[in-house]
Amino acid sequence: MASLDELNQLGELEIYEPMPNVVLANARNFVGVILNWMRNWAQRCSIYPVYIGMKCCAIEMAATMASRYDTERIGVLARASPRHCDVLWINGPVTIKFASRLRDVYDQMPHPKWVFATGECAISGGPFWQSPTIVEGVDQVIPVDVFVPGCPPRPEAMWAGIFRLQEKIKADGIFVPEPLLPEPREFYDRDPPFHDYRIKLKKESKKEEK
Amino acid sequence: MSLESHLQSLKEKYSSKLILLEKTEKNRLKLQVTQENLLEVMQCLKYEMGFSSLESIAGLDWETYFEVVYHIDRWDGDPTLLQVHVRLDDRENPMVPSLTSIWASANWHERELWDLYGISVKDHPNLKRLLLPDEWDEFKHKHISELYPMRKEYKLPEKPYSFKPHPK
Amino acid sequence: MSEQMFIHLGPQHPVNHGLWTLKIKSEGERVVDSEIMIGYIFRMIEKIAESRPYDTFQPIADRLCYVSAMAWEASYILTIEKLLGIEVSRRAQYMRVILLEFQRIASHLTWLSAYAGDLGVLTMLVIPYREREYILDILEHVTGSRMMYNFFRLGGLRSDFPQGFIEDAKALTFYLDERIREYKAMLDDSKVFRLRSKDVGILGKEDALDLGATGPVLRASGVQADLRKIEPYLVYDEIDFKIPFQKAGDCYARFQIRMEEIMQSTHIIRQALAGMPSEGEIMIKAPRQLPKGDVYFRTEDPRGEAGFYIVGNENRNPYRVKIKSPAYSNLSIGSHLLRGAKIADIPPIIASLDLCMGEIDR
Repeated sequence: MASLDELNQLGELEIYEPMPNVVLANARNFVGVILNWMRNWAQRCSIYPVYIGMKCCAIEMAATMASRYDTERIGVLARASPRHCDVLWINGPVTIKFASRLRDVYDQMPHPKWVFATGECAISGGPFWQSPTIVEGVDQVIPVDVFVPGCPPRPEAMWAGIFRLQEKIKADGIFVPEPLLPEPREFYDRDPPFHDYRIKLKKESKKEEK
Repeated sequence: MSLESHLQSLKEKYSSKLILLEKTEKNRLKLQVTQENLLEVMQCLKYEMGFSSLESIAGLDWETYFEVVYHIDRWDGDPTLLQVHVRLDDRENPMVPSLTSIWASANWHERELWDLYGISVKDHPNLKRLLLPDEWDEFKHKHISELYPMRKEYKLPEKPYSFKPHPK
Repeated sequence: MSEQMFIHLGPQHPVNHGLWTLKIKSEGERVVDSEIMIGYIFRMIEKIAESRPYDTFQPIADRLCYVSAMAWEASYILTIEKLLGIEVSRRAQYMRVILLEFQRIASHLTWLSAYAGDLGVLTMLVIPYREREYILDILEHVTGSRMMYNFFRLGGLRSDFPQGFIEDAKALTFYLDERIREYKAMLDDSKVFRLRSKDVGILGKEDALDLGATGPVLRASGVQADLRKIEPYLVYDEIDFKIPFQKAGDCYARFQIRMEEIMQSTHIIRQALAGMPSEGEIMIKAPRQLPKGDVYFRTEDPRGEAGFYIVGNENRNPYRVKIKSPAYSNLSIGSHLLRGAKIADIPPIIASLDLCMGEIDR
C-alpha cells in the first residue's frame, strides 16, 4: 500500500517546512492580537475548496454549493487551481493509482490548509472495503481535520461539518498560550495535522530564550 | 431479417466451423467457436450478415479452463443479439486473436481482458494496463495478491484490516 | 512552422467530470493525437459481486453510476428476474417505469449543468439543480433517500407509493415541461453557445456503429436506436412516445436530443400515472439459489445501453457478473473525436459525451 514512508522513499514526496510568520505567531501585545484575530476571521469565513470531484459525494458537494443549500453565502467557493485554495474536500474513495496524485495536490496547497473528508469511503474504505485497490481511509495518505460520516451525507450534514471546521480554525489561531491547546473535543475531530509548525516554533523560541 | 433467417444462413455457411449453435431465448443466438476459426467467423458476421457493433467482451474463469464471451449486436430495428463463446484450454498462456481490425470498439475491452485475467491478445495495437495502476507488477502488498486479480485463485478478505488505532 | 506540444489534463481538472487523464499532442492550436487513461476509481465491483449473495449486491449496483442510480438497480434486478424466471405484476411494472423516468430527467439535468457550465454559460451551473432538488424531493418521499435509493426488490419494489404521490408527480411534470422549454429557448438564443456547439465533434454514422457509441451519441449520428422500442422491457410497449434523432452528429445535435428526451419522459410519466392499475403484488420472496445458466439483459440508461451478463452456478453467490456500461464505450470514442479539433473545443466535446466515472472504472 502506498503509505507515506513508501512514497517518501520512492522519492515522490517532498515535505517542506513553511516560512514561519514570527511577528503574528508569537504576538503577545495588543496590536498583534487584534491582527491575529482579523486574520483568523478572514481565514475561517472564506474557505476555498479545490475542484476535485471523485464519486457520489461529489454530487452532493455540488448540490450543497448549488441553489438550495447555498454555501457561497458563508464564503465557500470552489477554485480550480490548488495554489489558490485552503481546503481539500475529499469526496470519494482513494485508490492506489490516485494516492500519489492526491498527495501532489495536497502539497501544492499553501499553508495553512485543512482537509475535510466526507463520506464513508474517505473514513475507512466504505462499502468497497474488500477491494484490493482501495486505500483504507484517506488519512493514510494525508492528514485529516474533520470527517463527516454518511453514504452520501446529506447537504445538511455537510453544513454541520463546515461549521465544525470553522470552529476548529477559530480555536487554532488567535493566541497560542503555554501550554498548547488540549486535545480535540468532539468525536468527529481528529488530532491536528502532524506537520504542526507551531510546535516547532515554540521549541525553537524556548531554546533561544535559554 | 429475423432470428430464424439468421439461424438458417449461419447453418448453411458455417456449420463445419461451429461447435454449437442454438436459440436460447426469444431474441438470442448462442454460438460456440474454436480459437482458430474465431477471426473468420467474426468477419463473416460483420461483412456478410451485417452485425455492425460489438457490445462487450467478458472473460470467465472456470477452474480448469478459461472462456471468453462476445456479444454482438445490430442497430437497425432487428433485436437479435449473438453470444459467441470461445473456450481456451491452455492455462499458462491463453491467447485470443484481436478483433480491432473488424470492430474498433474492441480496443478497450481487450485491454481490460488482458489487465484483469491475463488472457493475451494477438495483434493488438496497444496492449497495456488499463484499469489497474501501471506499477501493479512491482507492488508488495500486505495480503496475498496476484497479478491478475479477477481470477478465482485470488479471494477477497473476509474481515477488514484495521490499520487505524482505536479513537480515544 | 509550428512546434509540437504535449499537454496533460491530469486527474484533477475542472473540465474532466470525474477523474481521468487526457494527454494531448498538439501542433499549434490543433490536436494531432491524444491518449486517455482511466482507472483512478477502480474498485473491482465485479469481484465484490462474486463474494456475496445475489440479493445483497444491489446497494452496490446503486453506486455504479451515482447520478442515475435507479437505472442501474433496475438493470441488475431485471437480469436476475430473467435468470430466475420471475413474473412481475403489472402494477409494480408501472411503478418502476415512473421512477425510472424521473431518474432519467434528473440525470439529464445534471448533464445540462455540466455541459452549459463548461461552455461559459455560468448561470446554468446552478439553475438545473433547482429542478433536480424538486425531483429528489419526490423520490425521497417515496423511497426515503436522496441519491442511493436501494428501492427495487425481486418481483417489484420495497413499498407502495405514499398518499398524494400521484397528484404531486403530475403537477411536477407540468412544471418541468415549462422550465425545460424556457431553458431551451434561452440557450438557443445565445450566440456563443451555438457557435461553440455547432459543427464541433462530428461523428459519422459508420464510425459511430463501428466504434461502439450508444445512447444519445448514436442517435445524434442518424441511427434510430432506442432499446425501449427495439426490445421493450417492463411496460414500454404499451406506452406511446417518440424517439428523437438527428443527422448532424455534432455537439448541438446531442444537446437537442437530450432536451427533447426530457420532454418525452414527462409525457411517459403522465401516461403511466393514468394507466396504472390500482391493485397488484409488490414483492416476492427470494429463491434460495441461482440456477445454472447465463443471461445477458440490456436496458436503456440515460447514457445509452447498459447491460448485465450474469452467470449462475447453483450457488447463492453469482459466478460472474459482467457489467457493460455505456459511458465506457462512449469514452473510447474520445480519441477519435478529438483528432483535428482545436484546443478550445475540447470541453464541449468531452461534456457532450456525458461521462460518469463511476461506471467507467467500476
